[in-house]
Amino acid sequence: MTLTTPLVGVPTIDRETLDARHAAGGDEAAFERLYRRHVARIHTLTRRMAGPDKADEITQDVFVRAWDKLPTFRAESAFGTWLYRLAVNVVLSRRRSERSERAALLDDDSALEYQTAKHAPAGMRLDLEHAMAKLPEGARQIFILHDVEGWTHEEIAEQLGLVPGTSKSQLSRARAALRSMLDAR
Amino acid sequence: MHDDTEPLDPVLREAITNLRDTPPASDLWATIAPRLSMRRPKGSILLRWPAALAAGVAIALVSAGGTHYLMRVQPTTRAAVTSTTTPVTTVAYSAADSTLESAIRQLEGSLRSTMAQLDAPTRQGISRSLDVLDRAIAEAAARRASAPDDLRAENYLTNTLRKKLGVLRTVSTLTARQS
Repeated sequence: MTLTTPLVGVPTIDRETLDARHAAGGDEAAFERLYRRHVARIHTLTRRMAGPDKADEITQDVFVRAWDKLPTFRAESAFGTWLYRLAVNVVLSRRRSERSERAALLDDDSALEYQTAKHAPAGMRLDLEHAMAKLPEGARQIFILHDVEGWTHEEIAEQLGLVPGTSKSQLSRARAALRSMLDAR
Repeated sequence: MHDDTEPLDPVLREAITNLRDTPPASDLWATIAPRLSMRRPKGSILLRWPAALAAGVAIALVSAGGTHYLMRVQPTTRAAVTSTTTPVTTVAYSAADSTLESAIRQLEGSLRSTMAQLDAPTRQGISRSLDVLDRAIAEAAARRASAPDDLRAENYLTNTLRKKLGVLRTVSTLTARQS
């Protein structure tokens, strides 16, 4: 007998969660499907947050880390959300190992003042991608997490080891710097 | 979700809306795939929950049964039971228990090599569970040795051996499914 109508009340599992489960069991083909589906988003995130030079390497690390951690994925959220969080963690932990947070923020303060004051030459139009790339790393990450990805200041502060007030002030300056760069056309 | 930050101005908002994801210039899978194979041995157990659950249930049952039983024995006997470290192998089993013990030994033998494939946390979890069961079996066996006519002690030992066998079978099934 062939079922022609969906079963009512039977819990369904989406293809992605199924792939995640198979991948957690060692199925590399399932994991490759997940990679193909999410690589653009993850690579874009790493490129924006860490810069184009490190994006490939960090993206690879994200997927290798995801492979390691897949057995802990409980499908309480979508796989994409879980992977994205993991990617942010990889980027930030890498940043922490490269330089101290405090030193980075001090650098950001001075660089942001410079960016806000200095306008791009007239006639040079910057799109947001290029403008973001010109921000200091710490401010750029806060802007991306808050305004592009929709994180709260509390979430950002927790991830970066800051107080929410610092995240807010950095965001405000980052926005001003970006607006300044976008206006200089 | 946004908080109490001042609203985004329209120019930036529009620019953010127009952002697009772009894939890497080259396919990174060729570099990622070999790294995956190196990191997780084929056949390793990843279904920790079923094994942990089975062991956990077994431990809970054994613990509950043991507590219930030990609460009911005479105080002098209880002291003897709880202080013993008698290994299971030195106890004379009944015919039924001997069969169970033999099956346990066989499974333990076959799992010894398979267990090496498991990742460390799973291995440790299973070992801890089996340790608890072994202690319960030792206590039950000691009690039975000290009171050979105690039917409750005999039943408790039999049930505990069955539970250990059940846990080992569950682990064995999961291992076979993964290999």
